[in-house]
Amino acid sequence: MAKAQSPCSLRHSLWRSRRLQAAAIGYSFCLPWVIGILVFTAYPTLASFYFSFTRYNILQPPRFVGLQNYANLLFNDQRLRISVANSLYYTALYVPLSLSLSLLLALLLNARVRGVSVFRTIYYMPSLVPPVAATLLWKVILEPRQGLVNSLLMQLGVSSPPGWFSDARWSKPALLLLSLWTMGPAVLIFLASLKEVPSEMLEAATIDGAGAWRRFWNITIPMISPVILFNLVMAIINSFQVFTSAFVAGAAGTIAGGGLSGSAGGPLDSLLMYMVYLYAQAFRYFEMGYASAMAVVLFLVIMCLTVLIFRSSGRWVYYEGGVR
Amino acid sequence: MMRRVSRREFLSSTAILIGTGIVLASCQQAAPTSASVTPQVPAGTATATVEVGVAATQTAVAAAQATEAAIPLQGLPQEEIFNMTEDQLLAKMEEDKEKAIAEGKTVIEWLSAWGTILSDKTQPHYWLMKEFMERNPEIFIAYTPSSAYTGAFNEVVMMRLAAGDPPDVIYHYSSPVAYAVRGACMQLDPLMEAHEKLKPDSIVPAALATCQWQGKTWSIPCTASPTLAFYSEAKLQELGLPTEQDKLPKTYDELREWSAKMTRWEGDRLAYAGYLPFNTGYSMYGQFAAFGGGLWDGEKYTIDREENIAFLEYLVRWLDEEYKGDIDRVMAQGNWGGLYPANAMPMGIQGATIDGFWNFAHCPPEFKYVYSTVPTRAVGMRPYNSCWPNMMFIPSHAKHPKEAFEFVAYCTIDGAKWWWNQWADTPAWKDFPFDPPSKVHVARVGEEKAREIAKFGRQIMEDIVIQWNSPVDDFANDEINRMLDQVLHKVTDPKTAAQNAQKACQGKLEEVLATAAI
Repeated sequence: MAKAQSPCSLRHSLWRSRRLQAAAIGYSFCLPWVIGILVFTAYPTLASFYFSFTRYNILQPPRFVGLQNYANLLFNDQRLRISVANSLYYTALYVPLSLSLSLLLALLLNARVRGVSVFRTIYYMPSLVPPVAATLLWKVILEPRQGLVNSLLMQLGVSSPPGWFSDARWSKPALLLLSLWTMGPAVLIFLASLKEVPSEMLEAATIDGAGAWRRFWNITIPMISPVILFNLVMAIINSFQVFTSAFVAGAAGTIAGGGLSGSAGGPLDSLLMYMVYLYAQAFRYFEMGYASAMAVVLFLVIMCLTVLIFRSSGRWVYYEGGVR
Repeated sequence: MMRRVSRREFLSSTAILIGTGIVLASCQQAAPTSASVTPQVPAGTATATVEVGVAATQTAVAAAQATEAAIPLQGLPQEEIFNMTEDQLLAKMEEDKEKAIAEGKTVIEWLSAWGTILSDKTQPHYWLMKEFMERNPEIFIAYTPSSAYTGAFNEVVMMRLAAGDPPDVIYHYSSPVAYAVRGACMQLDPLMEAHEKLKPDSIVPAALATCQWQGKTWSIPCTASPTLAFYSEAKLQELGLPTEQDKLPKTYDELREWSAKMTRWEGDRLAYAGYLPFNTGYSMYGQFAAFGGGLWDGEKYTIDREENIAFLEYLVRWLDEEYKGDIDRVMAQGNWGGLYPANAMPMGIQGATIDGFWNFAHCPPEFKYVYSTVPTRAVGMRPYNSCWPNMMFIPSHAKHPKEAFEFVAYCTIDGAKWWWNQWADTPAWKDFPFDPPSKVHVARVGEEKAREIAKFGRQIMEDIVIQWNSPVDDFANDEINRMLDQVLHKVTDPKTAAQNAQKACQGKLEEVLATAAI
């Protein structure tokens, strides 16, 4: 004899089945993205990890070589050391400069003046320019003999202005200049966070006699510190992964660059960034295994740095309400 | 009052909307090609206007093709094709490809390192495809420019070869031998032997050698433009130097002497440069050979040969004596090398350069030059020059290798006229008729001088140095660049730099050959 369900348990099973149904619908909506992440992110990441232990030229099957790629990477590759040094130099300058300048710009754009929305658009626009086009544009601006910058410098009495991308001493500053030109997104994020700083807090501080600097340092900075953390992490990741601008500028700045094209290291390899070298290994020298090892190392370095920053964030990032 | 929509209703309406969207999208035309409604221009209606300069060249070419102007390629008149956007063209090509498949044609895909056929109406690829399809109506060429992949050409070639979905024929700027040793290239000798015209001995040997490895042919050099020395006629006249070809510098010492006469500094500013031997790129292979050395002998690297080290030292002395010893200062002051409009020579701040034959077609018509062979170290030495071939190869698992080879053969034999007439690239087929001369030359310098240029180009092809055929060509080129860079920046002495480059290149070569598939 079938046991009659109590109204309570019937309601419970109905609730359960509806919940399951809702979950199924929810998952089915997520599924395309889950599949996308598995196929286009997780699989390549894992494959790259596997290839890093192989000799793999893409056209022939990979051959397992254990830690040989990592050993070569650490002990035998002089150009890799140059690329690491270049990337560190670039990161060390780009991160503080981009953070401080974008914050400064955001502060200016936060001012209540007429036409500020026009300025916001103007400052954001460079980040809409495709990286290759932006680099070519800056190549023209920084062209040594007839470029805008050097023409101005010559009119100001500088008899021998820099060669920018064609001079090993100036190529990295030129690249920095170009990168800083496209910091619109960071400015926008800072601007949004500045809008969230409670005005009553600033007014109260003003009444208490706090000056502009004190208000900025003791109220604005702590209030926007979560956004500083975000921009800091993004800036570090982006600077280690700088590729397009360095590649395009580097190819242009190489002596004998014309026909032996693709060297892309710039004068004295001064623009040979880590990612540029990784690309060359993978797609010019047919060394996908080695390039994969380089990618794994870069991933670990960026991950360690990010973890360190997040760990340290407890000391300097202020979350309103204490939620982290 | 608004009715509350249940989850079921919401989901079903969403599904209906998505479904309708998919149906509508699939019914939509691939691109606004308007192929079926565009009236075709009747034959002979194209008018040619007499213009000067670059426009004149294009006009000359257009005039030559005026009679065929109405013959459509892929269903459209040529003018309409050239007025399309890149996306429209790619969509149209895809549409035509489907049509060709439906008609039972053999579709061969031509993957090209060249960016687009839209950037320049004189671009030969369009005419090559057009004429070939007219001659072979059963074959359809599906052209894929590198711009279809936003220029990421190497990546695409590798991925498609690795994925087992190769195009039928590839036009590449990098060494096909690099693909061959990795098992991705078809050996072409049997196809050449079987071909009516494109026999192994029908191509200029030095040009064919750039596509061979250990005696086997892996690609065809449809053209192989050699390098030569260009001089500014006006500058030579100004300095009272002779402009006749047989009186131009024959040795490096002479060239250096002439260069010193041309070079002028105004304080720290290099107001006028003579010849800059360190701004030459791919032509370095020819220059090292002409100096008595050689970077590559076709089988192994020979970068640290004494003659090469001597040449590097010679370059440093040249830099010191004529260019104040500061390569950065020199490089910062001009877009040196080449005869293209934005280069220093046509701009009137450089007197001489060594560059490729195609420069004849690209320099501004008003710029007057004289030319001769690349100098040698001493009188009586064998001359050498570099070349830049337009190489075509057929991947190992191409679907239609026979038809693809037929197309390659056409591009090398009859079709070579398009390269020749429009870009002044020198055909590598031995029997190519260099008379009449290139139309682009005629449009610039007149019939007689164009004939002289053509004869000269064909002649110096015999002196092409062996290059481009190394299995590690890109790697080696980067290392050679680096060697020059370090020597001229004086951070490494010539001997050490040459030894380092030799060690790196030969080491890499041996490493690759250890697992070579051929």
